[in-house]
Amino acid sequence: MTPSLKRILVLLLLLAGGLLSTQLFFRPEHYYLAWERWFGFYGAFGFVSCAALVFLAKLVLRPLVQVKYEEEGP
Amino acid sequence: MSSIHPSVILLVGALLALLPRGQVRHTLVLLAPALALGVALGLNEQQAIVNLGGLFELRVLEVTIWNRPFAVIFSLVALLGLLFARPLDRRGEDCAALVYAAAAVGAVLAGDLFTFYCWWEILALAATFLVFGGGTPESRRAAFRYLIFHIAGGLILMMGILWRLAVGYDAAIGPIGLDSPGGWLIFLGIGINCAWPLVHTWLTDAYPASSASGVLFLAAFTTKTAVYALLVMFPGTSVLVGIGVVMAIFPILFAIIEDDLRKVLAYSVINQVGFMVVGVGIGTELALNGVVAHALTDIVFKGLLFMTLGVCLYRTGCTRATELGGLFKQMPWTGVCCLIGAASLSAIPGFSGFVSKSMISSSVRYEGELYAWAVLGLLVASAGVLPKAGVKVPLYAFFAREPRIKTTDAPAAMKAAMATCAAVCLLVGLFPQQILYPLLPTEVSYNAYSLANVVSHSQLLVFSALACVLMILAGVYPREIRAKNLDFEVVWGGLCRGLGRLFDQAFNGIHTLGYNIFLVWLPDKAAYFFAHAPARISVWFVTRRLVMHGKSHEEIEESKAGLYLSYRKNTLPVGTSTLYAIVLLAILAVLALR
Repeated sequence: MTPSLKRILVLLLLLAGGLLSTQLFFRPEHYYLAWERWFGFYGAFGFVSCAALVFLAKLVLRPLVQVKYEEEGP
Repeated sequence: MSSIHPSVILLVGALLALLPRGQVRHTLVLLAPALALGVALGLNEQQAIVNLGGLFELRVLEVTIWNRPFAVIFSLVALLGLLFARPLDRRGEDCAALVYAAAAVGAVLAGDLFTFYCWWEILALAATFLVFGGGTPESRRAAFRYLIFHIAGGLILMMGILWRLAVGYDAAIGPIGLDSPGGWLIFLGIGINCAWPLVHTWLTDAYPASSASGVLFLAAFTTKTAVYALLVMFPGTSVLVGIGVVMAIFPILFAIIEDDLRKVLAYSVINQVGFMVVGVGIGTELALNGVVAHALTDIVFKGLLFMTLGVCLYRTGCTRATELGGLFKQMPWTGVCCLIGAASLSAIPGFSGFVSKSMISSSVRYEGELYAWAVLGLLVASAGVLPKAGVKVPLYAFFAREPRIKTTDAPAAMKAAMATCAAVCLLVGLFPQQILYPLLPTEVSYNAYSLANVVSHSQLLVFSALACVLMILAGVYPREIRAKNLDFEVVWGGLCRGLGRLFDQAFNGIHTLGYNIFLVWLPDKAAYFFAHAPARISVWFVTRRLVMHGKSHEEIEESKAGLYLSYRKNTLPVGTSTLYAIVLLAILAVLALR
C-alpha cells in the first residue's frame, strides 16, 4: 500500500465514521421513502452499488465488448 | 427590449473568424460571443415574427422564461470555448464553432417548429464540421457517421412536424405530448440528439475523435438543445423517467473499462443528460428548474473537464489512461482545474453539480413510492460517477504513476478559460441562491444544503470512494488496457452492412436481370430472327407454290436448299425478291384495308 493511498483510506474512514455519527444525532423533517429511516442506508447503498458496477463492468462487460488493438502506438 | 437576435451576432462572428490570422481576428472572434452573451442576458419576454409573403409566419425569436437561461449559457460557453481555442488558431474550426453556437441559440429561442427545425439542421451540419476538424482519418469517418445519425434524426423530426400540421395542429412550440403519431416522431427525433440508449453511439464515437477545442462545443450544444426541446415539448412524460434512469446508469459500465479519457467523459455526458431526462419526465416545477440548473452546471463542469483533457492532448498528443499519468507536477494549474471539474461532476457538496443534481434527485424523491425505483436508479448512477469519471479522469491523467512525458502547463488563454469555468463551478456550488437560482425559470425555494441532503449524499459518495480504494488495494479494480470497446455501434454497423447487402441483392439483381434480358437475350434472339426469318418465310411460300405445281419431293428439297442458301449469301435474284416484297406488301395492304 502506497503512503498516499493509505492517507486517502484513513481520510475516507474518518469521513465515513463522522457521517454515520452525524446521522445518529438528527432526524430529517420529512421521510418520503421507507429506506430513508434506515441507519446508514445511503452509505451501504453507495458501497454496494459502486462495487457492483465495477465488478459488472470488469467481469461481464469487458469480456463481451473489449477488443485489443492490432496496431501499436497511439 | 433587445433589437437584435443573438444568433445574428454569432453568425457575423463566424464570418469574421475567416479573416486572415492575426490579433484582429482573435479579438473579433471573442467579441462576437461576448456581445451575444450581453444581448442574451438582456433578453426579456418578447417575440419577433417574420412574415413569408403572407403564406407563413415564422416566430424567429420568442423569449420565454424557459429558453433565456439556455441562450445565456450557450453564449457563455461559446465565449469560453473560443478563448480556450485561441492558441490553436484554427480559422475553420472557429467559424464552425460560431455557426454551431448560433444554431443552438437560434433553436432554443425559436417560437415555432419550422424555425426550430432549420436551426436544428444547421446545428447538425456545423457539428459535423467540428468533428471533421479533428484532422485524423478516424475523425473524418466519425464525422460521416455523425452526419448520418443526425440526418436520420432530422428527417424523423420533420416527418413529425408535418404530420402534426397535416392533422390540424399549429406549429407553435409548446407541450406536444404523445397522443398522436406526429408527437411520437418528434419525440424520437429529439431523442436521437439527446443520445438515448441504443441511439447514443454517435456521441461516444464523434466526441473523442474531435479536436482539443472542438469537443467543448460538441459537449455543450447538441444534447442540451435536445434537453431544452424535451423540456418545452414533453414535460411530465413519464416514459422519460425510465429512459433517463437507463441513460444515467449504462454509460458508467462502459466508462469504467474505457481507456480513452475523452471517451470516458463522452459517456459521462450521456450519464448526466440522463439525470436531466428524468427531471423532464417528473415534470414538477422543482424538477424542471433542476433540469435547467443541471444543464447550466453540466455545460460548465463538463466543459472544464474537456478543457483539461484538451490541454493534455495539445501538450502531449494523447488522452489515453495507459499513456498519461503523473502530469500534476508539470501541469499544476490544469490538474487543479481537473480536480474542481471532477468534484463538480461527482456532486461533492460545495461544488456546482451537487446543487443542480440534488434538485433533480429531490424532485424524484418527493414523488414518493411511485418513483422509488427511479430514486434507486439515480442513487446507483450518483455512486457510479466516482469510479467512472470523478476519480478516473484526474487520477489517470495527473496522478497514478510517475510521468512518462515531459511537458509544460497550458498557454495563458487556455488557463484563463479553465479558471473561469472552475470559478463558476465553485461559486455556483457555494452561493446557488445568489448566482444560479436567479437564472432559473421560476422562483426556487429549494435548499440543497439541508443537513439531511448533505449527509445522505456525502454518505453515498464517501462509501462509494471507500469501495473504490478497497478494490484498488485488493487488486480487483479493473486495470487500464490499451483496447477498443465495442458499443451498440456494432449493431448499427451490422444493420447498415445488412441493408447494404439487401440493396445489393435487390437493386443489383434487378440490374443484372435487365441486362440479361435487354442486352443479351433480346439482341441475340432479334439477330437470329432477322438473320433467318426472311429466308424461312420465303422458303415456306416457295414450298407451297412448288407443291401446287406438283413437283417431286427431291425437286422441292433441292429448290428449298438453293433458295435458303441464296438468302443467307444475299445472292437472291432481284426480281424474285421484288416479287416476294410486292406480295408481302399486298397482303399487308389487304389486311390494313379490312
